Amino acid sequence: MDTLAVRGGNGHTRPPPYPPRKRNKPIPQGMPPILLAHPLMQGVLTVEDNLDSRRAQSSIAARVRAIADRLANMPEPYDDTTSCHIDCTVHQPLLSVSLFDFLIERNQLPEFEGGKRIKYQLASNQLVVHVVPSFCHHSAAGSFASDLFRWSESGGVIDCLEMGLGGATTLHYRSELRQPGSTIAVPRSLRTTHSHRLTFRVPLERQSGQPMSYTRISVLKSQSHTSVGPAISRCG
Amino acid sequence: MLGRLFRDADEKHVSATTGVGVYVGIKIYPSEQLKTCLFERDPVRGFGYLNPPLAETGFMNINHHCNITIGVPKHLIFFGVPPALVPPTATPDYSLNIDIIRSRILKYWEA
Repeated sequence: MDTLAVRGGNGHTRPPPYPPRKRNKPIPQGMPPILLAHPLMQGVLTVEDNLDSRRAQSSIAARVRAIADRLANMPEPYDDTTSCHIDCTVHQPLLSVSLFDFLIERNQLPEFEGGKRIKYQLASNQLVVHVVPSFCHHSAAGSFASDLFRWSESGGVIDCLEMGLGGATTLHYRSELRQPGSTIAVPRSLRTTHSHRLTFRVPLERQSGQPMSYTRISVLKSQSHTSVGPAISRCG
Repeated sequence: MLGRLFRDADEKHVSATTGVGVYVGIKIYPSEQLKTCLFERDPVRGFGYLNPPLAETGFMNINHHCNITIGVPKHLIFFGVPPALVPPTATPDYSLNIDIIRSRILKYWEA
């Protein structure tokens, strides 16, 4: 009797509902068999495959979270001589470039894990996961971006406007400031995206041959979406 | 000591798959120390960083003010841009004040 034959309740045997599967590819070491059982996991995933299969979406997110959790909980070494040995690559499934762009643009990959931001990279159709160690690192990466942009536009003005994490503050604040005590209109985008106290510095006067003086302006969030008056104090 | 900065510069930022001309690497140590390197893409090979780096600072404490400025060449910032389209700037090269980075790190430092 066939080993796959199923015995019914009345004692009669009936043929199996489908022929036994033949696995062509050997199972890699350390790979859960449940993911390999899915046909989508054996090739390169496309956008259509990802949209059709909720199982593929959840498996990618689960693997990313597992790697990010290990990276987030790893203590930071005091020097670079001791490198970590955590495998940051999601070996299966393989992602196409279009699917990677799709996942990044639609924010369908986990963004944070353990309070730390996750970064992604696609290398040889494999998803590589990185974790920004802390908010301090994240902020340091963009600390001089505003200064660099201002140098490329107007040049020479150093550290007169501080933006936090790519905030959408623009240079029109400088043109609106005429004298101490003048009001500054806070744009709608700034009110909605920043609920905390914003502090930035605006050059008050520039005279040739003399050190530049600044004005520190603190803009409080406006509840009524109207103009707010800045508190101005001179500094260095 | 800066193995990861050099490795990241070589394998990621100025690798053969990117068009990045200059790369500023910042290493923050848990001991409240900071180190900065400025790398340039190797113009002969076309990929990888040029050894030695353009600039490399020593260890700096994030609690102390520093008066270090790194000059980033303008032609590297506008790498690949036709000369006619490069915007005019007040200074020929960009002067990167390390104290801007230090103060931002100090502001958001987490013990």
